[in-house]
Amino acid sequence: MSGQLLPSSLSLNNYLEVFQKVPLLTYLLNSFVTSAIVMIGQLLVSSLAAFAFVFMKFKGRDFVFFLFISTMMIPWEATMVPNFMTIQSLGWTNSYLGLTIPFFALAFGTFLLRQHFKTIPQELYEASQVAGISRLRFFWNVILPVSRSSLITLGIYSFLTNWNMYLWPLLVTNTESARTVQIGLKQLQTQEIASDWGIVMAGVVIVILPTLLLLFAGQKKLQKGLTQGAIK
Amino acid sequence: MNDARDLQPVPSQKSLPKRNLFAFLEGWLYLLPSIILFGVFVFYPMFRTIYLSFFLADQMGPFEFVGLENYQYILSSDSFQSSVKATILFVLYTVPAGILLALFLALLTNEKIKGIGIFRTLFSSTMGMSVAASSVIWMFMYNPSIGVFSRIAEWLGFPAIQWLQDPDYALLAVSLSTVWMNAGFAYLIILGGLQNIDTHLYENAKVAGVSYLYQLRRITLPMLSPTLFFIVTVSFINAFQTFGQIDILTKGGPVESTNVIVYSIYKDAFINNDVGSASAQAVILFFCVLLLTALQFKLGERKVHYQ
Amino acid sequence: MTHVSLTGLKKSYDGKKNVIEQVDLQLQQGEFFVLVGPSGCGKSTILRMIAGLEPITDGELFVNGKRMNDAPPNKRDLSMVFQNYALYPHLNVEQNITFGLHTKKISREEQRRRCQEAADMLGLADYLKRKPRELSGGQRQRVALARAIVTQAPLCLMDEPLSNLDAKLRTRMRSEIRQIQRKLGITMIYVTHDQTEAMTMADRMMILHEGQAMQIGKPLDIYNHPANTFVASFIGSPAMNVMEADVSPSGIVLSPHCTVPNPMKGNVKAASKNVQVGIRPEHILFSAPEQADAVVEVVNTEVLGTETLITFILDNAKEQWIARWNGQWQFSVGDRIPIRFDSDAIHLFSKENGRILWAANDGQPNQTAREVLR
Repeated sequence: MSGQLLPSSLSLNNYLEVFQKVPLLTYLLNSFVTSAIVMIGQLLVSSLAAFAFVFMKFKGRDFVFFLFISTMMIPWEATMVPNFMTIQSLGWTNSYLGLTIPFFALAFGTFLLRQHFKTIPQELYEASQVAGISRLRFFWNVILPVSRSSLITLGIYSFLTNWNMYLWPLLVTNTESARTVQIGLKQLQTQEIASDWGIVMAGVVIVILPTLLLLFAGQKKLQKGLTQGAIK
Repeated sequence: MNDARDLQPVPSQKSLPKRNLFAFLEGWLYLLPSIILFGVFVFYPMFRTIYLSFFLADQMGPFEFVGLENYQYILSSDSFQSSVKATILFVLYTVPAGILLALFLALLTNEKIKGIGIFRTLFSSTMGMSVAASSVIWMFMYNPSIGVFSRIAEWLGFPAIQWLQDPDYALLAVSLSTVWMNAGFAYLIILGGLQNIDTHLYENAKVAGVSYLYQLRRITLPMLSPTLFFIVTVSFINAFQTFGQIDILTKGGPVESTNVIVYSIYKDAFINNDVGSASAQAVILFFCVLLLTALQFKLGERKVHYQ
Repeated sequence: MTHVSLTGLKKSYDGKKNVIEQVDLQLQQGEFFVLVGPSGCGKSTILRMIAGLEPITDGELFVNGKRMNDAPPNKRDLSMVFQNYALYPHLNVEQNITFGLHTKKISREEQRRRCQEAADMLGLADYLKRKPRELSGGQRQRVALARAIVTQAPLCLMDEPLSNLDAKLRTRMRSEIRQIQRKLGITMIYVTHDQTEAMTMADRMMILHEGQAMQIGKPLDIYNHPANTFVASFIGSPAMNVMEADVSPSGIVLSPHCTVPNPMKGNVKAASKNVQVGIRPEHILFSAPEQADAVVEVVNTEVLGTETLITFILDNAKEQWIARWNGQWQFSVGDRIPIRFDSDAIHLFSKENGRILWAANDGQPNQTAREVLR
C-alpha cells in the first residue's frame, strides 16, 4: 500500500499472504476454543450461583452476595502478578486451562442472571415443589430453558470479551501453538510494520470479523440484557 | 375417594433442623464453584499482592521484607509520578468525551426512523472490535507518512505531526483512539436505557407541548440517570485499567508520557522483574478504584433516580 | 370423615408478632371450603402452610389424621392452583399438565390418558400442543386446573385462581370449578378476596381479618348472622349499613328525627346504651308516608336493571346509607322519600368491639347479647 487515499487495485493476495506470515489459523482456533470454553464455564458457574441467590434461603447467603459484589471492586489488573504466578506453578501456561479457568466465575454474569431469575414467578418454583421436582431438576428443566434469552445475552457478551482479551494471553502464552489471535495481531504488526500495511490490515479484518458478526446478530439482545443486568 | 390412601411416612418433629441443614448445604453447593474460583483468582491474589508489596520480590516470589520501602520508593520516583499524571490525564480525556459522544449518538438514533438500524449497528460496532485490532487500525491512521491524519494536515498546509512519537501529543492520540474504542459499549448501554423509558411520558409531553430541550432535561436525563450512573462508573474503572492500546501504540513512551498505571505495573513485573514495586503500584491502583466506586455510589445514591 | 384439621395454627415471621392467630378448623372429606378476607388478612399464608410452602410456626396440621407439619409439599398428597397459574412458559399445554407426574411413578401411558381426560373435561383437547403464551387468560386458567386434576390428589388448594380473569369469565369458571370439584369428590380449600366468590362457591367458609378467624360457617348463615361488624360489612354487596345509635327500652335512636321502635320486645330493662345498628340494604323499604320511619334525602341512585341502589342521608350528611329496591326507580338528587326499616332484620353490635349483641331475624335474642345489654 502506498500513500494513495484510494487503493489502486483490489486483490485478495494480502489475505492469502497473512496466513503465510503468521500461523493465523492456529491462533483463530485457539481464540475460538478458549472463548467457547470460557463462555460455557461462565454460563454454568454464574447461573448456578444466581439460582442459589434467587431460589434458596440459607445461612450466609447475604454474606456471599456481598463477597460477589466486592469482587467487582477489585481491578483484575491489580491481581495479575500473583495470578500469573499461580498459573505458572500449576503448569498451566501455554494451555487452554490457564487461558480459561480463571475467568469462569463472573460477578457481572451472576448479577445479570440473578436479575432475570428474579422476574421468574416464585410460583413456578412452588408448583414444582408441590409436584415433587428436585431443585436441581427444576434448575435444569425449568430455569435454564425459561432464561434462554438472558443466557444468550451473557453468552454473547462473554464470547466477545474473551475473544478480545489481550493482556492475560500476552502473559500466559509465549509459544506459537498456544497464542490467541489478538497476540498474533500484535506479532504481525511488529514484524510487518515496515514492509506491508496491506497484510496487517488483512489480519485485522480476519480477527474482527467473527466478533463483528456476533455483535450484529446479538445487538438487540445485548442492548436489552446488559441494561437490565446493569441497572437494578 | 379412597380414605385410606397411603401417604408417605410422616417425618418426625426432629426433621426440621435436618431440612434446614440440607438447604444450607445445598445452597452452598451451588455457590461453591464461584466461591472457589473467586477465592483462588480474586481474593487470594489480592491479599498476595498486598503481601508482596512489602517485599523485594521477583517472579519467583518474595526474598526480603522491606516494609513500606516499595511505597516510599515509587512515591518519590519520577517515573511513578509521571505515570500517575498520565493516568489522571488519560481518564479525564477519555471518560467525559466518551460518554458525551455515546449519549449524543444514542439520542440521535433513538428516533424510530426507517433504516435507523444501520446506524445503530454502525455506532455499536466498536464493541465488537478488539483493542488489539482497533489499535492497529489507529496506528495506521497515525502513521506520519501514510496515515490519514498526516494527509489531512498536509492537505490543509500544516506540518506533519509525529502523533505517537511526540510526547506532547502521544497521550492525546491514545485517548482519542480510546474514546472511539469505548464508544460502542457505552452507546449500546445508553441506547438500551433510552429505550426503556416509558413512551407514554413522551406522549404526555407532546400533549403538553413542551420543547425538545425541555423533554431532554426533565424526562430523558432524569429517567436515564441510572444508566448514566452505571456507564460512568464502568467507564472510570475501565479507563484506570487501560493496557492494550498503550502496549501496541506507544509502549508507554515517548518519555513515559503514556505510561499509565497498569502499563507501569506490567513493565515493572514482567520486564524489569521488580514484583515488589509492581505490587505496591497494584495496591495503589486497587485503592484508587475502591475509592472511586465508593465515591460514586455515595453520590449516586443521592442523585440517581431509580424507577 | 375429617380430611384436614388445623389446631391452634399460628404463623409468625419475626417470632414476636403473629400474622396468623390461632386458627382451628376441621374440613370434611369432599367439602368445598373457602378462606375469604381482604388482602393482607393472612388467607394465602394459611393455604401455603397447608401446602408446605411456608413453615408452620405453631399449632398442628393433620391430614387424614396424620401429622403433616414438617412434610415437604410433595409428600402431602395435594395439588395446588396459583393465582398467576404458574405455567411453565417453555412447555406446551400437555407437558404443563403432566408436569411432575413422573415423580409419582406414573407410566407414560397413564399420564397421557389422564391428560386427555382432563383436557376433555376442560375443553383443552385442541390446544395440547400450544405454548401458554398462545392461550387466552381463561384457557391458561383451565390448564392450571387440569394440572391439579391429573395428579388425582384428594385435596386441592386454590389461591385466588380467578382474580386474573374478566368478570364474565370469572362467573363461568366459578360454576365450572364447583362442578369439577363435586364430580371428582375432592376436598377443596379455596382462597379469595371476593366475597361473591365465597358466597356462591363455598360449602362452608372462614372470614379472616388481620390473621384472626372472624367467623366460620355456611355462607347463608354467615350472611344472616354475622358475628361482628367486620363480617357484616365484608359479606354482602352492597355492604350492610352499620351506624351508631342509642338504644333505649322504647326505641333505637338513629338520628334526632328518626327513632325506630325497639325490636327487642322482651328487653324492656335495657338501658340507654350506645351501640351500632346494622341493617342490610334490602331491609330498608320504601314506605307509605304515614308508616314511614323517616323521610330521607337522596344523594345518588344507581339503576342496575332489575334493582336500584339508593344512597341517602338521614340527618348527618357524613353518614350515607344504601337501600336496595327491586325494580327501576328514578329519583333525582335531593328528592325526599319516605322509608321504613324492617325491624325483623335489625342487628345490634357492640360499639367497643364490634361483636353482635342482638339480631332480630333469628326470632330470639342470643344469650350473650342479653347479658351485655342487661
